[in-house]
Amino acid sequence: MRTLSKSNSDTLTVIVDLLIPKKGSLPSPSDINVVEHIDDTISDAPQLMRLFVEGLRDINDKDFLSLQEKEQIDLLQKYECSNSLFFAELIRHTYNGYYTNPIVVRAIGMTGHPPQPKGYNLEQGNNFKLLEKVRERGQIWRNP
Amino acid sequence: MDIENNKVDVLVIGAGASGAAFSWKLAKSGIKVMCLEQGDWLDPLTDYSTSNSDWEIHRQTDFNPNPNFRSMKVDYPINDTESPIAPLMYNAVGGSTIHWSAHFPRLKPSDFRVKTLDHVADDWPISYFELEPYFDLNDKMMGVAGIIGDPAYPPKSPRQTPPVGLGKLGDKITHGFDKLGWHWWPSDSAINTVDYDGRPGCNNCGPCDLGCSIKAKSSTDVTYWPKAIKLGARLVTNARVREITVDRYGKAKSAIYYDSDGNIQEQYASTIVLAANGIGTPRILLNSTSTKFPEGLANSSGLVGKNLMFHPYSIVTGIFDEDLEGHKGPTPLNIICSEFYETDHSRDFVRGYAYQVVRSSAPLATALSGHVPWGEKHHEAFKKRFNRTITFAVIGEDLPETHNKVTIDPNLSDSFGIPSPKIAYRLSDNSRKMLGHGVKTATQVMKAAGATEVTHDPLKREAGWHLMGTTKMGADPKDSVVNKYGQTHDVDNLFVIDGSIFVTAGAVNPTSTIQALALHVADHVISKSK
Repeated sequence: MRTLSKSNSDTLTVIVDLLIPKKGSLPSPSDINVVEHIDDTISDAPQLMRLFVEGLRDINDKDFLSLQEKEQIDLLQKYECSNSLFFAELIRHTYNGYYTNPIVVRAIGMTGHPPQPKGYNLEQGNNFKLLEKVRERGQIWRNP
Repeated sequence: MDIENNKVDVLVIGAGASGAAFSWKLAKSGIKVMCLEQGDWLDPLTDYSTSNSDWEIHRQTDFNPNPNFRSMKVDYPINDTESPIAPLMYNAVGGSTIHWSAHFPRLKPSDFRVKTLDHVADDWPISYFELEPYFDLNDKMMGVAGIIGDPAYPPKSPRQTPPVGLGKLGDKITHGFDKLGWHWWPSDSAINTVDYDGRPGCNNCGPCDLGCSIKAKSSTDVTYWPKAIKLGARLVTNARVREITVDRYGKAKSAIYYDSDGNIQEQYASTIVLAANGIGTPRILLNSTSTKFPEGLANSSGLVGKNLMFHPYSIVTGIFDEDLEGHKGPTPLNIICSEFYETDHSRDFVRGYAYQVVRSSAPLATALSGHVPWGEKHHEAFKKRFNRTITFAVIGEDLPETHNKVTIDPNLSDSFGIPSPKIAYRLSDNSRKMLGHGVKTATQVMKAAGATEVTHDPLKREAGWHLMGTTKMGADPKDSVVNKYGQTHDVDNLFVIDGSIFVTAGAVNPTSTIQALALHVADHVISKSK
């Protein structure tokens, strides 16, 4: 980790897995290094780094890791209201790391490769023929 | 300084949609033209993110359309705290065509005659039909995909390439329009769907807003500029204009700008042309004060910066049961509905609106849509929306109002200390009623197409793509800033060619019309130079 302490990193690992639980072929965020992604991101952004370090310290102060899962979720729900700025950034960067990971992108049904250079095959579609009906209804532009 | 040796015939400020078209036309006629652009060239192969796995994150950073979020060195901040719509733009060679969706509809004939037809705002001093040859020329230069025969327009010349494909998603939504018997049409798109003019056809990768690395999307850095430079146009990048100076006769004399090293430079020209968009252009004019023009250059009418028009957008999203493969194809599906475009006196608003159809969001955008909660319901909510949504952008005609304006913020400046703009904008009652009507009818289409759920955002904030009206065109110098040739009433060798000169906004994307106007003004400048 470039920025996060061991205790903050451990806490964040539990949090991101509560935000996006593992399900079937969909991995948990900690399986695919989302915590490392967040650590990298905040290391290059001083304001964000402060927000995360202070936010995680605050959660740690409440003995977060020793709580039962339900209590952890309750605490996060309270925290979402009381520290909405940090929580919004926490969600954003967790989702950023998760949904740009090729393993996840494949698991949700896409090819897993980025849009370029391969692109996609797009069916032309069958409904251009319906335009004849639109044409038949006649001019709708207003001639000044 | 040897002024004569450092003087060009025509100096253009801004290398976006209008500056590129204008510079090409002048260079073609042999005029010595130079363009100053505050941004830099982007290399489509290396500067765009769509070949990387983190491509979607770039929408939040270097490709965020909002310069306040992007905060790059080439950007200037905009105080938009008094506006419910945030202005968006991109600063580079190609300007906002770098990140645009390439919707390329023309304004319609009635848009130029709103006073005569509907007793609101003003008529333009030019008509659709006078601009038609310039629309056609511009279409050839940009390359337009589409189908002729749209009954919402007068007949048009053949489109350069076939329309953007519908895919499963397009088939789904067009059934909705068909069921209601409402207008829909593949909107003109400045996207090559097959090879055209040395550029390849689109490979349907999706995110046009992040720049097109294969150059199928017609941003002006890959259409007009290579041709203009070959013809002799000179393009200077990283040149940030602070002000335009005038001589003792009140004629535009030079542009003072900061070069890439931050040094002040002065470029003299016989004619100066502003192409810096509906916010950047009034910013430069208002920053160009002098004894002769204490309220800003070309501002004897007091209208520089006034009448700012956006296109206000409502967003209507339908959720469908089946996978619509919504990530395939250009995100803007480029279907347009003009059913409610023209004034209908049975409604409680004048003028009208259109919808543009947008494909489903990509994975990260779906997750961050605000509809996907964290916790145990996360995956279920994601799956319900991903590849299963169709969105309408309901685009309404914004009428000009002088209280909607661009001024200079006394406390904000860019990294070179050039004072920044401040926006004040209120959504009018007419626009609010228009968008409300649009949300209702768009919901009807979604339901007719089989949507199981429809949500909407009544006024999208991050939607100020179209910046218009701030140096209004007109015949009367008391009531306008430029004449029908973009020439300022106060300074006869100073012209404006961007969206600032729009008299009214219409309810379609403005770029096609902006470029047609730029070519029209170019012809005037060429004829005067002979």
